[in-house]
Amino acid sequence: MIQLIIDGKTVTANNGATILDAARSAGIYIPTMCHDDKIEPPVSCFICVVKVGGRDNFLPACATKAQNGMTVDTCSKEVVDCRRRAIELMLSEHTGSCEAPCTKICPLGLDIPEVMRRLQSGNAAAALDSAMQIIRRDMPFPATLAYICPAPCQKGCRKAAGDSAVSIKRIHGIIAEKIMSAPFYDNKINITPKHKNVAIIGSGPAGLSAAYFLALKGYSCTIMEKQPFIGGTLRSQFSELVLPRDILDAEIGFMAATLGVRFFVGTNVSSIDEVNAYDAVIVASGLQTCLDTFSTDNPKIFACGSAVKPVQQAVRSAGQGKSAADSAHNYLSGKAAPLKQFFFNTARLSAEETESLAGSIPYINKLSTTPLAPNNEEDIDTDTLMDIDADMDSESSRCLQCDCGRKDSCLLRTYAAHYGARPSRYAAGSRNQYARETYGSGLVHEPGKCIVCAKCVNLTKEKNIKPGLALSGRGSDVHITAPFDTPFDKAMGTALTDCVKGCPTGALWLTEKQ
Amino acid sequence: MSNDKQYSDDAFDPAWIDAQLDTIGRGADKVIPLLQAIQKRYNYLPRPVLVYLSENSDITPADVVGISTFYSQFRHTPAGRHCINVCVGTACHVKGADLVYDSFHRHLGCAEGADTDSRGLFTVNKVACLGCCSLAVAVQIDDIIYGHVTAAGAGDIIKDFLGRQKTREGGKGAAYDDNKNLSAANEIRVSLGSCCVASGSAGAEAIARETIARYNLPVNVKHVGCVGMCHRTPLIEVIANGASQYYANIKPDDVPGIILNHFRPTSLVNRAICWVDTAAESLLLSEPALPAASRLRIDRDDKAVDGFFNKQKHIAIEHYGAMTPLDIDEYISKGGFEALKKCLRELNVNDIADILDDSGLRGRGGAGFPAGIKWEAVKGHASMKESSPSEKSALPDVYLICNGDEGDPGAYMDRMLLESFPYRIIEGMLIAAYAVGAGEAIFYIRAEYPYALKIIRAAIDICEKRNFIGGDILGSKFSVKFTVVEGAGAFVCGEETALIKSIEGKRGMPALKPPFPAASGLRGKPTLINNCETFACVPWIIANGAEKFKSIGTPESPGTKVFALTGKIARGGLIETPMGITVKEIVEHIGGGIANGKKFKAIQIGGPSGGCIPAEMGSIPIDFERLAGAGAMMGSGGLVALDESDCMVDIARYFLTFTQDQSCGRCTFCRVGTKKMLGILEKICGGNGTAEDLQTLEELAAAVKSASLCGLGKTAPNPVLTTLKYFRSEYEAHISGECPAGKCKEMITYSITDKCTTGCTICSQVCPVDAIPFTPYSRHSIDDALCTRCDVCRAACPEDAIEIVPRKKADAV
Repeated sequence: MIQLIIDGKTVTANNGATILDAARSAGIYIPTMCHDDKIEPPVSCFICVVKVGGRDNFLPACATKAQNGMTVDTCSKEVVDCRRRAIELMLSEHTGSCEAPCTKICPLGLDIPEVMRRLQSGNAAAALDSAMQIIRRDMPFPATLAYICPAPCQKGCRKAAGDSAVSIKRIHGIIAEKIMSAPFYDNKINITPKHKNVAIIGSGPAGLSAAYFLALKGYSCTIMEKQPFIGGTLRSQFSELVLPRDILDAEIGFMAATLGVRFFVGTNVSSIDEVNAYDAVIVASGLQTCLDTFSTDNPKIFACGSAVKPVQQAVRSAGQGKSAADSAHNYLSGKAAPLKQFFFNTARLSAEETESLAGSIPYINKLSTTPLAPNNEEDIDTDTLMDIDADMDSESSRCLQCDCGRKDSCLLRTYAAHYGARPSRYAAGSRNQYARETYGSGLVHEPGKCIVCAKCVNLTKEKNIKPGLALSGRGSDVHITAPFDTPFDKAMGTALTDCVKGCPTGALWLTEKQ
Repeated sequence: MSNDKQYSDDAFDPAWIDAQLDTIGRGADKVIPLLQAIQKRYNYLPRPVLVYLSENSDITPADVVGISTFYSQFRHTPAGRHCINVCVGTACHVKGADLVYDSFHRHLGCAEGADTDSRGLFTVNKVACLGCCSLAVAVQIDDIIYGHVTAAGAGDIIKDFLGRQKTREGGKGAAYDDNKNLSAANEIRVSLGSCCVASGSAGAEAIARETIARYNLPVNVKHVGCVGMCHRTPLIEVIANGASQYYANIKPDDVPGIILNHFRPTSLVNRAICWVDTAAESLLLSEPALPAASRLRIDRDDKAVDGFFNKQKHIAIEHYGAMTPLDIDEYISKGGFEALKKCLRELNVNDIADILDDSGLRGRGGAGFPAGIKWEAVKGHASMKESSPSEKSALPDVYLICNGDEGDPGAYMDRMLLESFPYRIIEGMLIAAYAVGAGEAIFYIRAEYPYALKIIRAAIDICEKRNFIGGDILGSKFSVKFTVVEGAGAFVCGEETALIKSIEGKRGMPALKPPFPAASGLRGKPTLINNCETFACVPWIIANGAEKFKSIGTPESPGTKVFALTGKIARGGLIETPMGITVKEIVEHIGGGIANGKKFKAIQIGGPSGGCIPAEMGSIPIDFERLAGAGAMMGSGGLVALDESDCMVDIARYFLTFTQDQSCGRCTFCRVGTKKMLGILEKICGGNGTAEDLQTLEELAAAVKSASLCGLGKTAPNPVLTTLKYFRSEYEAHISGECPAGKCKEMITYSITDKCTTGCTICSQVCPVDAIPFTPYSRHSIDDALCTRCDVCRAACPEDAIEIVPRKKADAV
């Protein structure tokens, strides 16, 4: 046994243990990407760097042997800076997007590619049901928005280059219509009450949205509206021709009946004292609010919508209501505000790169044989749609699914957020070429996202797999290759699952079995 | 097997591959020699052959692909019948190697992005360094090396090569010929190092032999090793009645005159022939033969020659220019193998490393690690292993490796040592093997040095016959086997752990140390790795004692160092001087200052790991510590002199281009960091740099240095850091839109001044891209949109009327 000091703490470790082993056994966290217990440390990513007493340079904790009397620093500023630089260097090469541009543009952050994927899975009824859940999760009043949303998402669609954008709004409209008529509309929501009360001042799109998301989480919400009607600008800005009132009323009714939101109209709240009894207050009272009345220094008050600064679109107000709800939830549940989410996005893809995306869409319903319907970019009147199911199937199959298959489990994204990395810190010079290949086994390979840590290469070697994967080339050209044009999944053989699990980025992932 | 190289895909011949597998072996560690054999036969690696190889050996497809794409010797697309390798080493780079490459590319009419002409006759490549730095720009076509090539000369060289192909009778000039003759009173010494041959000494030798035969003169022609005066090659030394006389920069035509100047034909008939010849010659030539001899004669007392030699001290290259490299008896007659005998017969095995330790000898490969400590460490680990009851195996317990993978562009010391002093290195290795108990000694030599490989293989053969190598050497109980491993083209394999991987048949990716090779090296056994020059010093130290060695050089860096002095120097060549000599002494005293009267700007030392030391710091003594203190590094000892026409940002970009390609690609900081640094340097050289870029560059350089695994990554930023430190104003000038040296293509234009009065049309004729209209009798002009800045017109203009104008100024006009 040896003894060493890690971050001032005396730690005992076995002879031959690495600094990483020693730190882990003492509960000291060191991030890793290329490390895998099944193989010799590839020592590639340098995210695990630490500083060892007496040495000027940074050492990889995964491969440096712990020594008796060693002092190790795993978290000083210079160590953190070094890790951040390693991430920024990896990001400087990276291609692809954590989230699809449509999702990123949508003020509500609707996971559009996921909706499209779900529409492509299984039989039509089940697919629609499953897509609905995402709409319900991300959007507070989808049917209303289907009439009035200007669909900024479609402006970002990568399909627009050389073709036309996927008609996201049309699909949204069809699903929203189904939602209105579905049994789901009433009874598929399970809410665990939290026994905490939130006051929401204002019933416009921001206030309704905040109430919706908080109510979904189990908070008891009370909306106080100065006007004699509910809906704020939704009612005052849009004529009945644009937004049928029965739609809006139905959605408000759903909030009252199913989510238990209470509404008070003609109620003017002029000071904080009037709502002080509530555990949190959301100020969504539109332009007429004087924010000074509700000091935002008070931790339990959250402002959103035009109360903060004039907002033109209802969907933006709704988006702000959603973030206010998130903040209030964090406050009420005593959680620290989560790290700002990290988004990586390669803004411009070449024609060749877009083609690679189009030729390798991971989730395509094999049952679908309907030819692609011609699509025009203008807003489409949902009433004129003839064959809803077939059309939706073909239209959703046009989605490139250009978000990342590993957006929730990518270590590069996690650490980039954790260390506050800037994706364009090292912009000079070229980036990787974007490419995606989807294989029959469900394996998706995106070499532009690879950090060349060679974990997969070593895993196939470890299992003695022929042909196995190889590192090819040298210097900045190094990349992972399957020998002699063997399909990637075949080259990995029985190590496929390990390789996919081990891959620290979105370079390798598996589609769910269809 | 035919020697004809194929330019087709269909020559798949399983029987031939089987034969190779039978001779070379089927083990996973044999992958590199097998690939080398395939490459040699096909000029590239055909896919079906590789598939067959992986199916019929222990080598996995992944390894075939991984290894064949790592080493630059291998190519995967068919190559032309002949390979033109344009050296882009440092010395060649500063003399315009890129322009030469472009010129070949143009002459062959290769398509954009292709490296082979449409008929499949020639493939043109850039190669890291041919080690002929004193002949920069050097170009190798198959086995012929051309020196001092310019962009304008590409066409002539292709013609010359094709002409030689027609007349050649198989043999080549540099072929080794072991002509032994010990009567040294009358002889003509011709140096046949790779670079001497390239400058034409083989041709001179042929004429010398012809002359001697014709007049039946009592003279021997003798091959000797490198003479060091590379700036005066071809060079021959005539020994007449024991007295020496050098003749430099000779042409083949000069040789008969030189020989007849010293030796008169003895028989009446031969005298008559001679009289007729010389009379005829004096009629034909404007100057008679004998004055030619005196014109070319150089004296040891000549100030320039004396200056070149008098500060030198020869330890590693003792007796240089005087010995036939492969003449073992001559080596013995000059005290060769005495040190080995002393070790075997007089010294206690344990004393040898102590002597080395005492001498303070530090590894000559770059980092300067004390050799004695390394030897002790290997010995220590070896004895530990012995004491444990390990399995009996056929493998030796301790290995020894001579690192001859001299990859630094701008350095050729190791090549010269291997070609000229094979026994000296072998003796050093034998002593080391004896001292540490190594059972196998391996020469690792880069494939770019075919002549060195040939010499070493021949020398090992001869040593085996004479019982210097093999079992029970010289009647002792000491046995050691020697093998030669050919590198396959990877700079990083100069790093010891990468070199070991390469011998094991893996990608040359360095490993984290510890464990050091001394503890766990080749095949997991304790391994001693030293550089060629380190081994070459060992016999001298044993023979002359540690004290004598220590009396030379500086206290921290005792002894001498061999340097390759190249670049813009007047007298370039190979020199060995005591450590502690100053940069100024080397450049001015030995090198005779900068050629063509230009101003000395900086010296680049240590190649891609080293740095640029400015002229103002010329008084800095060269030893390991001082160089490191200045931000540079000894490296293997390449010294490239730079003058005022060299752009320091371009130099930094040059080295980063090299390292980002040569990095093994393992560590994020080295793989991506060097690429990003290069991206910034390209931006700056392209005239698009910003002040923020400089800051990012500096920060990245520090990051790569501090967070890379091996020496390559740790030192790769040095050229950037030193130029930023000493020549920051040049970076700033680039950012404000001007390249002060007028080197960076994007920041200059070519223009014709009013010195052009005659309209001689030479520039128009030589311009490869028709950017100069053919306008006889009137001043020429250059179409800037077409101009590729190849510099051919400027070199050709008889009126010096073509000048380089900063783009910024030109745009302003």
